[in-house]
Amino acid sequence: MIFYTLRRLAYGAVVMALVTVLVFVIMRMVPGDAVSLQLQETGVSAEEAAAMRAQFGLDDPVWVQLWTWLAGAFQGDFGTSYYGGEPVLSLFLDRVPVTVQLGLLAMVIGSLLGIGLGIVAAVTRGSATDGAVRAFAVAFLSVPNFVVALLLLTMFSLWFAWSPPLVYAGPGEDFGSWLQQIAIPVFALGTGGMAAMARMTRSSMLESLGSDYIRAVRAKGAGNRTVIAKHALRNSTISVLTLLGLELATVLGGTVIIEQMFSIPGTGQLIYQAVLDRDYPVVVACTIFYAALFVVIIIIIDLLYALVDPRIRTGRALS
Amino acid sequence: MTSPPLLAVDDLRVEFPTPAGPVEAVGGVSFTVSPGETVAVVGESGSGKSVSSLAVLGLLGSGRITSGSVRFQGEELVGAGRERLRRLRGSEIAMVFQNPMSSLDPLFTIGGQIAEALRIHRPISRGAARARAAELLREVGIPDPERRLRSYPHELSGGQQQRVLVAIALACDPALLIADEPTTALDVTVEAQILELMRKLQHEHGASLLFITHDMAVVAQMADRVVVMYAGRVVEQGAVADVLRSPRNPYTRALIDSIATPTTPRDVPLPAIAGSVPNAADFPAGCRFHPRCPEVLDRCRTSEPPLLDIEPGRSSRCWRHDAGQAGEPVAAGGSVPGVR
Repeated sequence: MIFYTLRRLAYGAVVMALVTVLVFVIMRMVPGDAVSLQLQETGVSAEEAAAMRAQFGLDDPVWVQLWTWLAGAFQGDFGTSYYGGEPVLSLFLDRVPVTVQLGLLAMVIGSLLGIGLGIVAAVTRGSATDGAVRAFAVAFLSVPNFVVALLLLTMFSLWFAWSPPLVYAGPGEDFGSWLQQIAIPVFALGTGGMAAMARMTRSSMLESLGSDYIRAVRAKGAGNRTVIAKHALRNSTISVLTLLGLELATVLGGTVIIEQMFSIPGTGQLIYQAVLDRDYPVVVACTIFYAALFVVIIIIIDLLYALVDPRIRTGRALS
Repeated sequence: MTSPPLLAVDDLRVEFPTPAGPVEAVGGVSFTVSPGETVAVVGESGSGKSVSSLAVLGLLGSGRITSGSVRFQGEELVGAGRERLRRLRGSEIAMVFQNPMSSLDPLFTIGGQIAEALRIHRPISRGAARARAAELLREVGIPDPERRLRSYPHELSGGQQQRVLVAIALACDPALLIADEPTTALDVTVEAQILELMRKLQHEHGASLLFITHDMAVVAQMADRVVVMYAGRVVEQGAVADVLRSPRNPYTRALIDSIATPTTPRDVPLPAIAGSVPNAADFPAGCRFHPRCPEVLDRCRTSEPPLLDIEPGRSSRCWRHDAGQAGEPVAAGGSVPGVR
């Protein structure tokens, strides 16, 4: 178990290192840098541009820049934005709560509904309910979340003459306004996950419901509730957990577009703008934060596997 | 056979839905099990023997009983309510399955799974259930039961897993124990141990045993009476000693001939029944065994023989009985597998 945990942590560290280097290098391979973008607009002279590049360290070779950045990062200094000169860390942390609220709501609501629908579909296999859940799942799985968002936005404004507030207010400032602002994004981000979760739960529930141990549990005289909630559901947890990890990636990716569409000032919007501006420190730091979040969640999920399945604890199966 | 039967299955028919329409896997099967008796149901895969036993418990899955009756202690179980059947399962009628490796839930401890069987039917505390579970483990011969209670299924060998399943089945002292090929998945030496254990516990608990198997040698070792099934029909039944000594039905004879015994010559291939069991979707016309039968008559191809009572407590389904050749087995005696 300790070995299992350590190995997960080691994998996580390797992933983080690779992500850091890749993002750092790829970002600098994209044509144009922050200085040339500013040049287009303000027409600074070539000397001033060179001075700015020198100031930001942009004229150093990539590996020198990487080294400088890493040295700073390990001391908690993730650099400053090229625009406005704010520390990246505080820029990012200011916006984290907004995205976390949005993403977490979407994931929790989507997962709970999805798992519930999946269980109902599996238990009533072949019925109209089952058919409805499956049709619904395929529909929402096929439509990208921003399309769902656009359709909802259009529908509400055309039919009900309602649209979300334009200026974002946090739940602490104006709860009603926040709720209106966030309703469609949460729905759009959550439905895909809900659909995937419903399908996964349904199929793994069906698999465990058809297994020998379920028949043996029924032969003991167990009622439907014990069979479904205790044995079948618990045996479906592994695949549902796996999907939950993948869903996190989808939701995180989704926030980048959705926040932009609904002018929600979260980290997604920050990254989006930073990429357009070639604001390297912000892009690199944000990407690494996202990757770190993802890696941590995956490690937690791996540890949950072990909690659920004794075979993983003793290192006999899977690993 | 003076006491009323504990279990009486009468003209049981079971159908399964398939894309090509319903298929009858069990067609009119009748047998009884008396208190304390061991009845073996024997036949090849696909003969309907497992389906018959599952039908008793109402665990057919997608299949359904189309007609016939299953009486347990005089009570009709066909058409009985779900809740009634659920209460009987595990408490009055318990079952041991074929694959011990997959019949225990991998995520729960052995102790938890035995205690579950107890707590479903009896209002006892967790602690009491645990203590009883340890007792049961000791009874089925698992060493260090206190520690084993905390083990998970994957930490046990196949033989030990089957012992645990026997413990679960015996937890509530059932009147009838159904064992569906309980040793098929196990090594021969482990098989002998499990059979010995089941026989011992059956006597101690005074339970009846309905033993499903495809192995005539196991029948000889375990059962008082035997029901031979082929393609969804009973083809012969009677006391084990009689049936093994002088099988009346060609199919029973063929099954007995294909047992290997210590005296079977090594240089001669073991006789096997040619062909394979027909699929339930298209059973042959006439006697269902006729395409594989070494003693087939013209009549067998067109009409099916009835199950004839040829002696008290003995019946067989073959036209040869009618043709005056009953009781003249072609290959009798000799190779009867003795009790090991």
